[in-house]
Amino acid sequence: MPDIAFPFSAIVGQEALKDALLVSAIDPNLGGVLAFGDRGTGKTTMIRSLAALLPVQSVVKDCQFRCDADRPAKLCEACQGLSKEGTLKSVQETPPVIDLPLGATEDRVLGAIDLERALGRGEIVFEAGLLAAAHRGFLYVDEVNLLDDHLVDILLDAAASGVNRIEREGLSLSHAADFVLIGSGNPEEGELRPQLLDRFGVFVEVSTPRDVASRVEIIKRRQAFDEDPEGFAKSWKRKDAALRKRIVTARERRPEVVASDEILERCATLCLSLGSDGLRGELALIRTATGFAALAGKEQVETAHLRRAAPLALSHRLRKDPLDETKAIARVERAVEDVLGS
Amino acid sequence: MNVIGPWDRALLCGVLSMARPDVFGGILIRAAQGPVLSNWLRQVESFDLEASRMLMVPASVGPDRLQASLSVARSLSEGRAIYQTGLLEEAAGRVMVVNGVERIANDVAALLASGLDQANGIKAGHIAFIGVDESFDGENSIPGILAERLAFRADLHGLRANDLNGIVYSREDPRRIRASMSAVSIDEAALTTIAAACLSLGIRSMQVPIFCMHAARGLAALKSRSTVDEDDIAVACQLVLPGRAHPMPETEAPPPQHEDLSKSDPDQSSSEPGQSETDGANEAGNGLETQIIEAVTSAPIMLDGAPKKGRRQDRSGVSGRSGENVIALDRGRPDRPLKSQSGRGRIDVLATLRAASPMQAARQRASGQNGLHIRKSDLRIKRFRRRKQSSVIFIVDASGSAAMHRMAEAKGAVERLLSQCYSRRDLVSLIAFSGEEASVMLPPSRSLVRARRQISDLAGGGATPLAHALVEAYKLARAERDRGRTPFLVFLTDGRGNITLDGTADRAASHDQVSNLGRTLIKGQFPAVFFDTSRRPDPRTRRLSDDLGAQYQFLPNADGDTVSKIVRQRIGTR
Repeated sequence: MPDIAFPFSAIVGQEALKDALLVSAIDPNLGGVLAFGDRGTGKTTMIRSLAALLPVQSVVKDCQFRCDADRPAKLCEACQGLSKEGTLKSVQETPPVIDLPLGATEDRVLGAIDLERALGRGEIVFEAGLLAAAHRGFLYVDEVNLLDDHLVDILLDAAASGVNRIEREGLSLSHAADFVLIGSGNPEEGELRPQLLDRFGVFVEVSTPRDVASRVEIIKRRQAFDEDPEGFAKSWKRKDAALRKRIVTARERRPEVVASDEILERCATLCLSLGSDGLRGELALIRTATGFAALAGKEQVETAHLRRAAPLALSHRLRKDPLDETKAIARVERAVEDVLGS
Repeated sequence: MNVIGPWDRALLCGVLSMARPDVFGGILIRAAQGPVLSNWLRQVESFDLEASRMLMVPASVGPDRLQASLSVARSLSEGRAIYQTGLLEEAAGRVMVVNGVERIANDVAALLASGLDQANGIKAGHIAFIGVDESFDGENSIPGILAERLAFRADLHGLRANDLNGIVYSREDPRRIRASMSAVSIDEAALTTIAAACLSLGIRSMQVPIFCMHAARGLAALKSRSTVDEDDIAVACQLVLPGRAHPMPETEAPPPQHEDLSKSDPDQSSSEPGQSETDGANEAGNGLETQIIEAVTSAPIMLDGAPKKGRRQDRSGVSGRSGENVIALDRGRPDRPLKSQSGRGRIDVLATLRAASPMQAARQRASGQNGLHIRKSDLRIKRFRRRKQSSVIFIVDASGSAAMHRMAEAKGAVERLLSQCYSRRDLVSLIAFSGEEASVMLPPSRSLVRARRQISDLAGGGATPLAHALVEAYKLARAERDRGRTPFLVFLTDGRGNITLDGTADRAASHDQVSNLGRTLIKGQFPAVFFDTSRRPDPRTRRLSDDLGAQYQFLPNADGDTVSKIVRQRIGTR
């Protein structure tokens, strides 16, 4: 991977995944993105591109918990000490993208006792894991459907609460772990349990374009990028900057965006008509639609935002009928048409 | 068009990989251990621009060895914690060779992939990865997460030491490519040919045509040209595409052909994936694309990813080549270490050290002695968790008049089982038999999507090769048991086999053979249930079910709902 990320604006197609990632960037507590489908659709590229697009963060230098230097109230113990001494230094970094490979151990993910210091100096010190490294950024799990169930549970718990709690080996501590969880997988290699499916905020089915022209365009841009990353990034700089501005504004605007009773009612009707399980679907639908409204610079959630949000928020929450081969997304689209009108 | 031989292909793969490991990732090569492979590896090593030694890694490598970890032996002898570097770190900027790559576990493949990606901020030279697929027939598939990242496919099977002549390359060649490849341009027509050829071969990944594009440019640079010509494209495709073609099952739409370029708008067409599939056959005038497809499909193929429908199982032996791997799996995943009570079991050194570590300072003070103090209460033993998975194998009679109906109901039962079995993680497979053979239509899978795609309702009609089916079922059940799963056989047939293993059409002989095979291969070995789908109960079929040691069910309608219910009960109660 080159140091320079592929410009987000230069990615061809993949609108649904772009939508899902943008909404998550605006509202990190949406609950994560699950992208299922073909290999080689450029999911990894897209996540790195998005992270590079987002505004830089102020991080305490050498802090293993990636503390936010601008929020004194949220500093970890060590950083609070530094802050009192007045020696707290901060650096500007792009949000991290951390890969969690299938073979990762629980120690590596959660963090564990620092053996070197424990054995050498008899000190019990926590050595942070991947969850801490992903704080304020993205945690990407390829083949999440093959990951051990208990690890997926840990990830989803941390993603939902924004905190990593550790109670093991004489350690008892917690640290902030606020990240956007992005899982991907190929359904042909195994499916995800419905209980886990439901806990992902939004779902996207990804596939590569099936027409030659789009494919040629993708190859062309990839070639230009691989040979001259700086030059290529420069030529897309203005578009990326405009998008960054939209995201920043949308983040600020989101808490102000309101959903009228009428909109809430439509949400409920939509979920009922699809028979989607539980309340999570409805909540995710409203949150996603709110994100889209904020992104569009609106103060109110509109029907158009619901329409755009529904496939993302609901298609993984439908009850499965083994004999119905209709794709979930098609079922959602049909219901959207019935309830919201076309 | 320039069709090149396997040895030249393999060498070119090596030259290009060494020139730009950052864009190509590496090579998946099918070869048996022997002088041909050694010769090739030696040559590739001589192309390495960093001139470093190849790092040879066995397929049995554990995830802990790939990442940096505590070196227990050295830590104990020196009394302080010493970390050893992980193999991924050692491999940076070098060539890493994994022999028997078809046997590596999924988690190891994922770690190797993240090493190739240089994920999580690792900044070091790129790894050039060589995976040697030693399987004899190329039937074992390499985990997709790794295979996807390796640009090249080569095959040395069938080559002998004195076949190895042709163009000779030296380190100068990759050096020239590295120096001048970035200046090589490739035009729109060439990219279109590449994109179209990939689509026609059913290759969905975008990474693959990108590999072809870079390979074509690398080949032009090799010949000191600054533009890509047709020959470069043809050769590049022969280096990248073999083994990647995904034959489409008959039940699906034919592979999408490319449409008329003039009328397609990237945004519009990419949002409507169905659109391109319907129109346009290959126009004449794109002869190169057709030639590429021919060259690629006629090349010896190893498949990665989804297996071909109706693929024959390995006939050479049942316990087969992946024996070691199977044993490792069978011992289960390591679970949390347990405090040692009886002192039995294997000591988990790392967990023991971890338990002892907080007490070291206090114990050193108390005893006045430096060094490591380990008490009995610190001892931790290793525990393995074994998940007993069931593997349900359907053996379905696809012959005779009721075949269509039987297959449809069997498919329904498979789908129901799969949709209800997520949490149990059970697997389901299906063997269909008709005419003169039995074949695995769906290899053990827990994917509903795959089951839907691969089980077709096509019935062969003709004779009823029940004996063949038993042999096939036995092989699959053995293989599943070797993988640590519990096979469960489900027969759907009227039990009237009429053809013997050697192909003689003789009902009586076939019946005897089936009884014999059942008693020796199945009975007492694998639990089974036998659904008799004949119109009326026949005592002979009943006896046959007994010969198989199966639970007998008379089910003239063979409805999928009942089948799945009974199977679920049976695997649940064991």
